[in-house]
Amino acid sequence: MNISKEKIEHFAKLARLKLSPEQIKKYQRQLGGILNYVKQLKKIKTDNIEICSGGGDLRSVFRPDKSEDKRENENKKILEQVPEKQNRLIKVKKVL
Amino acid sequence: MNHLNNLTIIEAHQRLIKKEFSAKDLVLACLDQIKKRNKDINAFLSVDNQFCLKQAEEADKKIAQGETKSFLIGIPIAIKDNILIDGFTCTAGSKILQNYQSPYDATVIKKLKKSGAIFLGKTNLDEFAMGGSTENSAFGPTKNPHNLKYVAGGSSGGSAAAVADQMCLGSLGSDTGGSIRQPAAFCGVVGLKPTYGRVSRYGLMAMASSLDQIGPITKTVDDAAILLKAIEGRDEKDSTGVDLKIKTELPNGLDLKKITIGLPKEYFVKGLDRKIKNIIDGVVEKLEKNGVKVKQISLPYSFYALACYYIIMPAEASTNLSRYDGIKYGLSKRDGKTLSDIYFDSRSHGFGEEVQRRIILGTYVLSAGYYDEYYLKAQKVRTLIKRDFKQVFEKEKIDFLLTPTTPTTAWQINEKINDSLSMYLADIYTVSVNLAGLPAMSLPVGNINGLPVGLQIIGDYFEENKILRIAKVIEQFNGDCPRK
Repeated sequence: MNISKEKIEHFAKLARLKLSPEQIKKYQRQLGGILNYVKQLKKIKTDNIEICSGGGDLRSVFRPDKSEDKRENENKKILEQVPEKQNRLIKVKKVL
Repeated sequence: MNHLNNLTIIEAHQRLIKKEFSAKDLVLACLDQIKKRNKDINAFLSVDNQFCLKQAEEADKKIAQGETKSFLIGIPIAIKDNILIDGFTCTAGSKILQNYQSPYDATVIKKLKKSGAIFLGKTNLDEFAMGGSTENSAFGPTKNPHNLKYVAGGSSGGSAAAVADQMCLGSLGSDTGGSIRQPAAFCGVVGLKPTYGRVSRYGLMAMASSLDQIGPITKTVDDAAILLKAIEGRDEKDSTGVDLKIKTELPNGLDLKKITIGLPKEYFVKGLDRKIKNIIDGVVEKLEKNGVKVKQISLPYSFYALACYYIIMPAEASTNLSRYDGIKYGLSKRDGKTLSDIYFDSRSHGFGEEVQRRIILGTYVLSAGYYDEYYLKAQKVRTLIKRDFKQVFEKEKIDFLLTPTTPTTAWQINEKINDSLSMYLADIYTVSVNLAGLPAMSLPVGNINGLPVGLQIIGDYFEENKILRIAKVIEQFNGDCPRK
């Protein structure tokens, strides 16, 4: 089962990926195969089954509402790696 | 001073504190082995000679001052290159992070630094830990030290190969669907995936957050206990962490007559290499002779675990990897005119093929119109898979499940590179453990044509100590593990 070219292009666009024509062709076949494989889940009855969204039995975790120690050294190292910036602000190209 | 790199962590520790040799000697022995072998094996992506020699000097000073309590003081280890060490490059095996400098230490690194461990460098992996062979690394595959024509497994292939080839005394990997256990099995070393919540993931590059765990890869069971003890514990920076009632300890005997092991019948069906089955059967027989009760059990939904995993994992990964956008750090292609051009150009150039494949798959199963059919369905099936395990541990009073770690031994490099589904099938025995959040270990138990075979031991939640104890019993059946 192949997935249509249009669908692959649509999902690539949503994921902000630009695909080459060869890549699209390959993914049509490969993703088709994987989706065909995972379809077997349809056979399982899950009407009254709760969803499991985590690895453990998760509960909400709280911490006191106060700011952490300033980690200036870390901040500096993070900002050093920004491709384009103005002072401490990250610069981006125009949105539209 | 020859071959100090061949020692286990415990052996090295005992001789370090007797001052038979120094931490510097030990580090130099490892660096020597890396220099000799890494060009062929490609286990390490980066090695920082200066940094680790400086760490060794500090360790030697501390040992001289009588600070000898920590098993890890002066012990050289390797770290998978998706875990941050302050000041080290951290690539995740991806071009998009080729020059990325870690701005801080992951929690596990902080803890290891405190214990006195020495970091030799960073090890190769499938890009963003996505893969089962390390062939998806942007920096070339890691080769299996037992036969260089074969894969080391993955995604923690570099960490497993570095331990198997005696380039380090132990290493850390990360496991989302088998990425510690499978390469450990392929390389003939011990690999332990802890219970979800036992080890903090702060500073680990997230792949699938409800599945990821960091764990040790070592030469022996004792060494796995030592590394796990050093990195475990609740951390306020990882909200999924759990307060541990019992900490990890060195395994110290087990009354085999009180133990019941379960053999899940779904794991011993077609697709499993007959020779692997025979080796596992041999281990089970020995346990039985020593008084262990053996029960055939059933995990009916485990048949669906792989399908469930290949929905949940890409869904979470596609979400996690949206942060690599060319704006804040990493590769940034800035030739286009708009903000959106930067996103498209940076991501398309920076991500490799498997990563793009999983991002698109994840976007697909999360998208409007398909969400209920795939993602929601998979989350419900995950509940059923978890219940299966609960049933055998709680109601049937099984202490451990024994299974093969993988259905086959390592495959040849390039053999499966164009067949993603067949590559995914190699995870069939490991993924259900991540979906359920359980702890499991792969232990080397034999060889087929010179390629190692791993036994998987699955325990109940937070029963790592019990897993370590039975693993030690099995390790002693076999004598030394089939080290290189």
